[in-house]
Amino acid sequence: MEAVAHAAPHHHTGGHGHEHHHHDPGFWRTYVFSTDHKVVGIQYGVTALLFMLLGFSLMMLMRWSIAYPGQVIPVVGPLLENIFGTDMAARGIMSADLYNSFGAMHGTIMVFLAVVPLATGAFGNYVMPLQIGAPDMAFPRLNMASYHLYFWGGLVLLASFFLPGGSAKSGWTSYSPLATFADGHLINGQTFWIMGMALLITSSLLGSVNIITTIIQMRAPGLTWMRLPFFVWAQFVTAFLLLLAFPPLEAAAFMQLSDNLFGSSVFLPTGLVINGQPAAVSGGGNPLLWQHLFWFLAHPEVYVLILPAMGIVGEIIANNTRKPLWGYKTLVYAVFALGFLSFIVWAHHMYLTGMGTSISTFFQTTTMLISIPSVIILTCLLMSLWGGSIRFNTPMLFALAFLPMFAVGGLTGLPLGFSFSDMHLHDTYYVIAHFHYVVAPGTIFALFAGVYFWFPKATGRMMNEFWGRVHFWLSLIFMNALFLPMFQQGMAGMLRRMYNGGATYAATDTEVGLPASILHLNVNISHAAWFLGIAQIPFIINFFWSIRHGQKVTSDNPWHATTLDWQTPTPPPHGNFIGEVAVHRGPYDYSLPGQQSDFAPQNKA
Amino acid sequence: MDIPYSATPRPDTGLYNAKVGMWLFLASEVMLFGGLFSAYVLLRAGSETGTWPHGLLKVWLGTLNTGVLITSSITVVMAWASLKLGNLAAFKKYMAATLICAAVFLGIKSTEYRDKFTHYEVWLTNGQRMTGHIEGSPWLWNTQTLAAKKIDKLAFLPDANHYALGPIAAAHGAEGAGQGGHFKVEIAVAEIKRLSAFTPAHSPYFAIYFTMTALHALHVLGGALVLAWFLGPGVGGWKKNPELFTNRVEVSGLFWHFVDLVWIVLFPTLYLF
Amino acid sequence: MNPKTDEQALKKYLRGYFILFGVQVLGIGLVVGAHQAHMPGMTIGATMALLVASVFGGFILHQVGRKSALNATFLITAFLLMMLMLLTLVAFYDKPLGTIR
Repeated sequence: MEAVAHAAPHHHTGGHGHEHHHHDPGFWRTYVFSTDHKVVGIQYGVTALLFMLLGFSLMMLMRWSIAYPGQVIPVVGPLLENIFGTDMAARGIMSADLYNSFGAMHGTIMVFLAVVPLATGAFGNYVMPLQIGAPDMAFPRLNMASYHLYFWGGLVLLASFFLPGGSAKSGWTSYSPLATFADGHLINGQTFWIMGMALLITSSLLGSVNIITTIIQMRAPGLTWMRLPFFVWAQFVTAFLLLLAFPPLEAAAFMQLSDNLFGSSVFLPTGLVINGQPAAVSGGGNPLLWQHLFWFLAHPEVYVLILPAMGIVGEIIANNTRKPLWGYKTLVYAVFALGFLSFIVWAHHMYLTGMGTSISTFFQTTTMLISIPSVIILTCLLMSLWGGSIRFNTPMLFALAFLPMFAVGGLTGLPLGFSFSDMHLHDTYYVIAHFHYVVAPGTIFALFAGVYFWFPKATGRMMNEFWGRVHFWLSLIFMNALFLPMFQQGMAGMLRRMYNGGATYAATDTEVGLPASILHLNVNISHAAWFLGIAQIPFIINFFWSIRHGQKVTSDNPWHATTLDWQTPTPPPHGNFIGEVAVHRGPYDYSLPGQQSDFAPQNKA
Repeated sequence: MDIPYSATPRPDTGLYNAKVGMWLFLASEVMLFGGLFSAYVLLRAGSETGTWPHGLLKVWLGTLNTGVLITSSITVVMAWASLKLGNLAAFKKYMAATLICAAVFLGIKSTEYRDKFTHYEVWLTNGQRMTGHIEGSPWLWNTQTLAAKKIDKLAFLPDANHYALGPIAAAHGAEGAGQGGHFKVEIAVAEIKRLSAFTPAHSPYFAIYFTMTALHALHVLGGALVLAWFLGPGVGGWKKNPELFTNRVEVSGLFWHFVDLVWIVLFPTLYLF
Repeated sequence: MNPKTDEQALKKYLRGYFILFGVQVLGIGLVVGAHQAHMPGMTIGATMALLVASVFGGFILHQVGRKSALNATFLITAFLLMMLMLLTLVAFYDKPLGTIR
């Protein structure tokens, strides 16, 4: 919007010199305060990847405490004591408080600072406008603002580690009343968590308004709705989820802030006793209200995590099978159904809160219904492979691995959706394994696939194929070694969020408890986690090395793709396309009979 | 590089970008206030008898504020219509009127806040409850303040009625009892179980009242700042690109109308029910 | 859109707007009046009427520039809002048998 106000006078003066001046804005405007959707996308991508590494590092430290509770953490132990003080990590041993704060921040960082910004902020910003043939996002300045809000939200959350008492410790779900009383200080980690979340929510609000407006308004001539690439549809529905699901959490966050700072009782019930003393609050609030408002966001959030990943996988599968996606329209309708249903399943996270049977039945029913569109999408993607001459490059390997991994994650979710089986599995490692299968070898694999796939468009250089394959195979093996045993632990009844990995409930000669075989899995899982960390080193080096030293691409369209993002110069200049773009065909015209090449770009008449 | 359809509507959707963006933003805002409103409903449904305050806000002030706000939504439309007719002077006049309304609204709102911060409820150990003022009208006292200030007697001016218990009878040691409810009682601090001003800490009702009205006031303030920008530093946009400028005033007006609508929901909910 | 050509349409739009304003003023008068006269049922009824009038009046007025994409968005939003409020409330009242409050 603003850009036009600046650009308009240029047209009146009509000088080319002015245009050139406009294109050379200096370091700060080019890399930090840029309004170009591609720069914003890369900013999002790099920041989110760094946050993902941080979130994973927290988990690697926590895994030590789970496998070897009460033992000094090797190498980094003394460092932790220096950073977090003797209360939190005396002699380099992780305390329960430190474990809790790492646990809460691992969840928060991974969901809100790593995966969502990478999926919608980075890919949504970089790829989506290119795919619809737009010169930029509809509101470039808003786009810049949403990145900066995200960045500052992240900094606020990071700063909370260094507060007296440490960061938020009540899990990424921040259930009240625990969240209000977990810390004795008035300005504590939870307050910072709420502030940081308010910034992140505002950022995602601006981002989603921008994405939806861009898709509605900026499609190139001829790019009708049913000619949109599947990835664009996925982004469209995702943005709606962010737009409408986040605000109730923001409302809840404000009320929790009031509970924490002003001593109100929105989420605090009458007769609350803290540490054996009646709490000095009015009472009369409702702790379940927090859970309702939180899960009203957090369940759609699950689909915010998975839909862009499905979009990326769809693009890569169509490209590397050299075939149109099987059931394109079905896929589109399924994404819509998924988005819509995701709003009315939230209380399946709350079966154990004393909900009645009728409302449980309602949420069980909607939860089972939502598996239908999920299975439709997975089936369509799987059927797309049939009869294709598949190119097994790194992006395709990751995309292919997404399918079975997401299937494991999805199918193991069914027992959690039924209230009777959830009674046993609720809050155990089974839940951890289930949603990590969806997000880690599911979404994150798809995001890796996307990074390998669009890297040559963004930089003009390919990432190294050999090290990409090393990264893929090691990640695949260790992801499964990491999460598969957790199903077993969960079914044996091992609860999550225990800093000593369930040692408290170990079976003894006289007591029933967790058998030693189950507890010993903790050690295996931790080793898998650390090896998974090592397996990311090839990716990190490959990523940064290839920016300058990777093999140069010989054409603007190295994968021979049909969508508009590959019909631009490499890397795309400010304004993206040279000349007018017009679309004449659907998104996946691969292997058309009677043509010389096996693909026809969308802008080919 | 031009962003297409930022000033003129796209033919197939019939909309310019900012309008789409603003309506989407408003949809999100509906869910924000919707979340708060469903919190209100749930808290009220779960409240025990005699704990949900009502009748503690001045209805006439709320009515006045409602009038001020809907008047401002008329003037903002007139401001936009003046631009459509190419009359910048009339635009300025109407926009200034809108801003005055916004200032009056916020002014009234802040006096209402101050009233609540000096208005108290006291729970005595014998089970008696009174609402009223503390002599000298101190701000934001509570049970802890009494201990911190080492006071042992509190001069309290009870209201005629308690919101849940009805008329407040003159307690022992009352001066001037029977003079139309205006009497003063001396309460020994040892007899006070709990003292609270009508702040968020008083009860979930006031927590939700302050959260909702403060969030609404922030919206009024934010909207007023944007409108003030069009009147002040941003007015030059009219010369550069009248169509774009008019569009911006229109979408800001849309936001302003939404803020009015929220108040029309809040006013009966918080003041009357 | 040329500002001069649709002056007529603008006048009509403003007339609609003033009617809505009048309805709102009357509605608020009614709501507050009913409240002062201690008629709780009437207060709720009048409030509902006022809300419906405001929302629909505003909706019709803004039809000027509104198209199907936005209508769909608003239908979805309204539905989700209903669901949020309704389901939390139903969950609150639907207690398992024998629950003591």
